[in-house]
Amino acid sequence: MPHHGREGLPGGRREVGGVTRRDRLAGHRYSVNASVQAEVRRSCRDELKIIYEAPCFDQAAWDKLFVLGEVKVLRASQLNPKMKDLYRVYGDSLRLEGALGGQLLLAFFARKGKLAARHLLEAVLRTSL
Amino acid sequence: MPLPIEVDMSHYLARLGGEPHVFHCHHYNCFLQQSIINTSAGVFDARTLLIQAATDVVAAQLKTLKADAAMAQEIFSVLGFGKLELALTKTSGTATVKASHYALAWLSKFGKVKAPVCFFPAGFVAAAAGAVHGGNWQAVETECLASGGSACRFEVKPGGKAPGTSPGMGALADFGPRPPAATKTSVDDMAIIQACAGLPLAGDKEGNVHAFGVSLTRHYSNYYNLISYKFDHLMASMGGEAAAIAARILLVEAGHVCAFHTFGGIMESAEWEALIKPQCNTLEDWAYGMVAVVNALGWGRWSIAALEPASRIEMVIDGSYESNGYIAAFGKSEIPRCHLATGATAGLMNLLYNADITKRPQLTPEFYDQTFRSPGLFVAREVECRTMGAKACRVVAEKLGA
Repeated sequence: MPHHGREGLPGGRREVGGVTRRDRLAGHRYSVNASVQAEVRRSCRDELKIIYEAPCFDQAAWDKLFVLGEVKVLRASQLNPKMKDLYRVYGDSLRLEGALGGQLLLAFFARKGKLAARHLLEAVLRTSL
Repeated sequence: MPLPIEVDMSHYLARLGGEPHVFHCHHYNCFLQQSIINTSAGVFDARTLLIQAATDVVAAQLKTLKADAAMAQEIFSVLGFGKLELALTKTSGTATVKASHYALAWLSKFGKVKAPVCFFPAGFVAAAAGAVHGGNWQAVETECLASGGSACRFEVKPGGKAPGTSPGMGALADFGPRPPAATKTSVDDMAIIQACAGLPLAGDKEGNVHAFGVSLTRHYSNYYNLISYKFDHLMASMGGEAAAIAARILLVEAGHVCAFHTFGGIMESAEWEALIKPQCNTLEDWAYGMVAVVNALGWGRWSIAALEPASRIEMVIDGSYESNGYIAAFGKSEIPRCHLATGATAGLMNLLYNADITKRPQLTPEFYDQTFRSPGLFVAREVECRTMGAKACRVVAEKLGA
């Protein structure tokens, strides 16, 4: 039975035999909804990294994600029209990275509140994609 | 006041206080450090080498910048090594590093260890103490995040060796024209370099740089050069030619590790999705895209001179940071010296044609072993090197059995 609040991800002890739960989860895939698939990746730091894949993270989707934190934009399309603008959102316990019109959203969850941050993000994704 | 980091696009490098800086990720930093320590065990004390090399290059920089303690702390943080707090008097002191790049990286990569691992920070702290109070100082790490501490703490006291000479900006190269093949791609390398300059590549409030999906440092080129080449020379003088060959093999493997994790991480990053992937029509364009990113890292100017899909690549490197530093510090060489570039070129081809990086595989240690032990492995050699008198460095990677 999944741990309370860990919908989508299997629960379990934090560290077993020197392997952290975060490491054990690497490669785990689940559906956020019919449009959005999630995959847990091994991160470089003590943080949970999840790649969300959807047909397109368009401006409407990003507008909803922008409420999750401070937004930084690199207008790469102005340097070369083939490039896509790069969006980053820095929120409490989470960092989001992705391209306008891209298919991937990279999410990094860290520190206290990361579980709530993941739930909040996935709730936003369910309503926006 | 922002740090005066200058980007010199005529030499494809960045400098701060007379020292060149290059981006490298924690995988390379940890693997290089671990390789030097493990391989030199019983031959010489690598920890002293690592600390002294850091002191040498940082002392030179802080002296040029006339840095005080606040500036030293700022530099440490902006370059991505963590958050440094110095508490120094004229006769003693302490230093604390929170979110140490080396300690966090070590934990992430190798797990908890018994002994401290922050040798570069220890050398940095010693140099900072010298900049603030003059004279020679030494710093010993007494508590480390990587060995279970709550932070990385250092005891600082006068003494130790005087900082050695840093090669500084090194022997800068005159760049020739790029080979015609360098631009036979749909990838706009100058736009990529410009875009990379707009990324948040300075340390955040914890002194960490998160970009391209990896944990980066804007490290001292001459730190890599001094620890790598002194490692090689010490292994040769104390362990014999076979020991030196073992050292060089490991330095090239550090390049494989760098390519696998850093290049691989970049190719799976949001930055790649936004900036490079939309410009790529073929798998070979991915190679060109990666070279464009490399040209934003301060490693010199890389150019693809020939690329035969799934078979062979020839890379010309003008002003590689390895050759700049080697020539200035050690003079002419009888053998090629661009070990990182050699390993990274092979690693790039293995990522593209053996790891199928376009499918976004998990870049695990197991997958590294699988990739670099596959039957169609790409192996690289440096066929021309500036340290041997060539105008530019040239690395060829070919598929075994092709």
